[in-house]
Amino acid sequence: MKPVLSIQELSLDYRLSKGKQVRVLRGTSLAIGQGEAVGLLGPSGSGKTSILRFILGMPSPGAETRCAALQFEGRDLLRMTARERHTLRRNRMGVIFQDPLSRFSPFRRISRQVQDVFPRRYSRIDTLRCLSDVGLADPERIASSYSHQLSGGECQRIAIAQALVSEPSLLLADEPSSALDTVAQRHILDLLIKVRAQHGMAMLVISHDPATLLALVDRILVMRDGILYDYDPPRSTLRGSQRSIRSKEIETEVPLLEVRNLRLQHGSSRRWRSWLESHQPHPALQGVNLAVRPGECVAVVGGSGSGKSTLARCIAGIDAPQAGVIYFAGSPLLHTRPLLLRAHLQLILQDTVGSLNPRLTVAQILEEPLRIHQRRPTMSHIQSSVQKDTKDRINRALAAVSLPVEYSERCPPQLSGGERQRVAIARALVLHPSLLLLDEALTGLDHELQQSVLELLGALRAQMGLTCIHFSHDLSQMLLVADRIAVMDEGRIVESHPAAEFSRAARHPASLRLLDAMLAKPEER
Amino acid sequence: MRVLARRVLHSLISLLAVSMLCFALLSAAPGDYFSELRLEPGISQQTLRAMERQTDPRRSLAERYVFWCESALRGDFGNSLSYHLPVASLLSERIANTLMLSAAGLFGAWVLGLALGMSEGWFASLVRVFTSLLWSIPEPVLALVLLLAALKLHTLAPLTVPTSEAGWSLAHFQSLAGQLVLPSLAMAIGYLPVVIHHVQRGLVAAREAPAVEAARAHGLPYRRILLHYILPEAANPLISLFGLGVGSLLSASLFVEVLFGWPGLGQLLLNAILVRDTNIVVAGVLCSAVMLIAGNLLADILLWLHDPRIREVAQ
Amino acid sequence: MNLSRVAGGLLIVCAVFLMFANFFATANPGAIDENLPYLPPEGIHFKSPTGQLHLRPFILRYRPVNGQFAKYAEADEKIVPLYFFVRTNTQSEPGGRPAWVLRLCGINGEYPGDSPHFLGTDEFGRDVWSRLLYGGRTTVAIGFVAALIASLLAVIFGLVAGLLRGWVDTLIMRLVETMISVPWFYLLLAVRAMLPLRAGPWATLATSTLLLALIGWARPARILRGAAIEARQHAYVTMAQASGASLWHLVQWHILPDLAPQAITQFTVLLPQFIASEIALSYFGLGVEEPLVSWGGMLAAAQHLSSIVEYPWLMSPLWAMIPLFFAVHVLADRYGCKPTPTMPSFSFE
Repeated sequence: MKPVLSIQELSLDYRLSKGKQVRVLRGTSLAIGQGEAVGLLGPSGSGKTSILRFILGMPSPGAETRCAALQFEGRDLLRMTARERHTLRRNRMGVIFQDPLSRFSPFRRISRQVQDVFPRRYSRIDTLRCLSDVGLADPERIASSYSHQLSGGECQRIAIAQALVSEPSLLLADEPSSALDTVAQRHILDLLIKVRAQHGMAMLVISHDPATLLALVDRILVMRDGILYDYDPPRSTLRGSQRSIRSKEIETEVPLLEVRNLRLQHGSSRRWRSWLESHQPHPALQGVNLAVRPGECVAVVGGSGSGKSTLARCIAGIDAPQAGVIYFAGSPLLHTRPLLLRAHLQLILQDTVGSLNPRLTVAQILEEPLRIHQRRPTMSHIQSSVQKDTKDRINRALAAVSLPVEYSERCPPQLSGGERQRVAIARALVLHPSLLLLDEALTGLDHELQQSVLELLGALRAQMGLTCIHFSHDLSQMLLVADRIAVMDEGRIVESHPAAEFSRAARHPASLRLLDAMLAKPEER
Repeated sequence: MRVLARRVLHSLISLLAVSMLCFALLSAAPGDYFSELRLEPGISQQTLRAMERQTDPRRSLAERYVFWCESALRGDFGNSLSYHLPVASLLSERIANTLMLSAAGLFGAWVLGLALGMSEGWFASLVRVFTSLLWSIPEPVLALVLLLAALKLHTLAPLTVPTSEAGWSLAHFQSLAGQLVLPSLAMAIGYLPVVIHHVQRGLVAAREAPAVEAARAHGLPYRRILLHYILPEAANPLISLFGLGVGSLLSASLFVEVLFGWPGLGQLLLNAILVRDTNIVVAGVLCSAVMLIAGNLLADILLWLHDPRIREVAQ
Repeated sequence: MNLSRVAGGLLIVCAVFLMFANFFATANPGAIDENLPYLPPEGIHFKSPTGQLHLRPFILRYRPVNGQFAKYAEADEKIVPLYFFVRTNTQSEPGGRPAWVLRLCGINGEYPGDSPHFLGTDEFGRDVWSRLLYGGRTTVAIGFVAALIASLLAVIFGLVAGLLRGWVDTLIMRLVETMISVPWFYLLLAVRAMLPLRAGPWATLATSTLLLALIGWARPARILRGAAIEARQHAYVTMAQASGASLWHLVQWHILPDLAPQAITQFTVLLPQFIASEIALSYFGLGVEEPLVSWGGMLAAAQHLSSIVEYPWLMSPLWAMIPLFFAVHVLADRYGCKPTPTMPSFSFE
């Protein structure tokens, strides 16, 4: 079988500042046969997108890509001029990008942008038909909208429609589903599978998530040590280690944290003290009830916009609820709470890049909460002992998340994603909290990193008897981690079951939706 | 549209505040028109006293402000002390001159700036060097160089006051245009680096925008990418800049006016400040404030027309 | 990269020249010489008119033509050598206590107070080169201090408005909007008109500085307020707040460091603008008063077209501004902080 695309001896260098170079790929080859779907797996920032852009003929700035031969449908792409490559993209290749919303011009109606792609004279009916072909229910409305009026899922469908217009022989997809929420992800994957069955084109799919690739492609290549290897899906190692913790059931009468009828409506609280209230609107809370026993690990699961983050922010004392009470260890917790209580509740956010101040070193980041919680000593000999104590606590926190002490002098930009998340956890642990709130703390991470962070959290729970509340959209992951799953929808907790029985006991439509999306994922099949 | 109405209302309130501020500041100033006149040796005390008696005797600030407001509503903005004319008629003539000058300058700068800023390749880097050079040359120097060059070439007709009373004959128009060339060129060149800088920066950013990249990846025709994807992407900051330019039509040309002896608003205002002719100062400042606000409003309307996202937020 | 080095060097050279004005100057900036009004620049030569080469640089003097005002004959044959690191008596009045100053160069004068005039003299026979240095010192100092004060005010008001929000924010922002809705130089003129026109040199110096600062803070304050609001929304600020940080702690640890580059940008935008405005104020006779020298004041002597054409050396402050502005613009461009230049510094938007 003659390959649609073949690349010989591909090498890829990244130019860093000050003339330094990093070699990402050194002389590896890749071939995609007709109608074959190939997946490219690698952590984010590993140069997958640069390969894709190299194939397209739109090299990314800062990346130096070279290869001995690049052939597409038997033609040598390296000999072609930029204009010829441009025409080739128009006629023979289709592309789908990550982050569909930004890939449409906000100034031009969708119908126009779809028509722009048609090679010949078009008619409006063509446009509408090609929109309905990708499963958009109301093509008339969509065609006359602007991109900002549509959801990410809809935009990605339109992008697929655009890519299919020219009947390409090769479809390149860069993280086609990663910027979407779980349900939309599932739909896009289904659509891509269907499209491939209908059109029979070859595909190159790029993703950091093996589950996405397993669903879509025939074979997966993984980038390792500058070479592309065939990928061997690992069996999940989480199950065993986490189960043991869960079996250690702790039964206590008094819940550590209890939330009663918590309400928060946005736009009305403009009080003097709420100066730090974020001005991006968070979804409202419509009366949330939740109780967490000491040592328990509860997962609050829900789609985007269900109010998970708002709940986390209320419990952490960032947003002030308008009604309802939060009890902590039996006593009510107000928005203006004493410092001592704040130390017991620590929040870890999704955004590890943003949650660590890039200007501070790791040591300073870990020192900051200690500084906040320390009365300023006046006498110098006390100060020196406090300083020593601070250093001790920082080192112990670093050790707890198994980071070497040398890391304390580094700055966040010099750390990898996993290391940053470890620092964020260490920052929370430095104050010896009894309750950890993790707001999508695992979402931005790659598969392996997620696992290592989960293992770390499991170990910490076993050691320190931490209570954890995860706020997440990923049910499959939470089923592995948590003792109990509470499903949140439209500002309410709609039901709550022990994790082991969740798939049988769930009744609410929101839970069933989440289960559907999860079960369709190949890893869980 | 309700947003627009609210904007207009806000602008009116801030104009009122500006007029009060101006009036209060000028009235609080030690000395007035007559104290400056007293320093002139040629004027006798008697004439001075007679002149003082003619002007309104009310001394309280609030009263004078109310009186001024009345005259503003009548549309004449009170009398000028030094010219003995209603301020409105004085100003309107000067404003027309200034508008003519700076509109020509602004137009020239934008046409040249867009043409040069949209260039590509080696020419673009040439333009960039030229821009940064031009940027560091103060406007008066440019004006001066132009002036000297014109004198060397003997093409500079003696500057006369362009009046509209002469009628709008072709000859008059030609002479007017001839006189307008140099000062407006000086203004245009002074403003040019700003326009070029923004156009270039906007286009560079727009060419890397995700939507433009997607259009390139789909292989759209180059012309369509430029017209329908890159230019709209780059337009927003340029529209704001244009609004600012329109807003400063009355105030940007002060230096050029003084250097070229162009009888515009700036000169009048400056003299009025020096002789403390309060009414002219207040009215002049107010006019330029109105222009600034109108410019911003124009930019907002253009943005509203151009960007569907803004339309959505506004509704 | 290279360009910014050049600019940095240029800036340092400018600063050295202006700071040590009394070393680099050749005469007292206020010293009047009725005999030599509008003297053309005396160039530095190494080769005499007879074709002889000299190791020591020298100047050739102009001689006034008898009976005619400001008319000078071509240089005569007499060579006046320049001496370096000379101690000069700046006391020109006979009988006054001598005041010795170290100058970079000077001549063996024919009379007390005689000095070379590298850039000629103005209408009162005052040395333009010396006035350029002293005037630049005044002008740049006013611009610098005013920009510093204005940036500080902007940081304070921006922080207060951006962090406290509520009615404080509304109040400050209304004030800012009112100030911004008047073209900046006209506002400056109007407020200047309120103050006494003649008040003595040092009072006018202070007036100019404070005036520029008090009127110039509004625009940067609005930008810094936006930056403060943005800085506050960083996740690490949320985290610090969750662990109970006080407002002061947040400002100290996170928000102020975040605002610093923005504030510096604003300073670099204000600096040339303020220098240009000071020049304009003095040019229109509203700035610092004699005997303090300023560039605008020097330029004011050249308001008439005829004097510009006949005595072009009077325009030297304009040429001196070019390297200064060039350096500031390039450096501001280089240090990441893109100045959002709405207007060139001389169009007083």
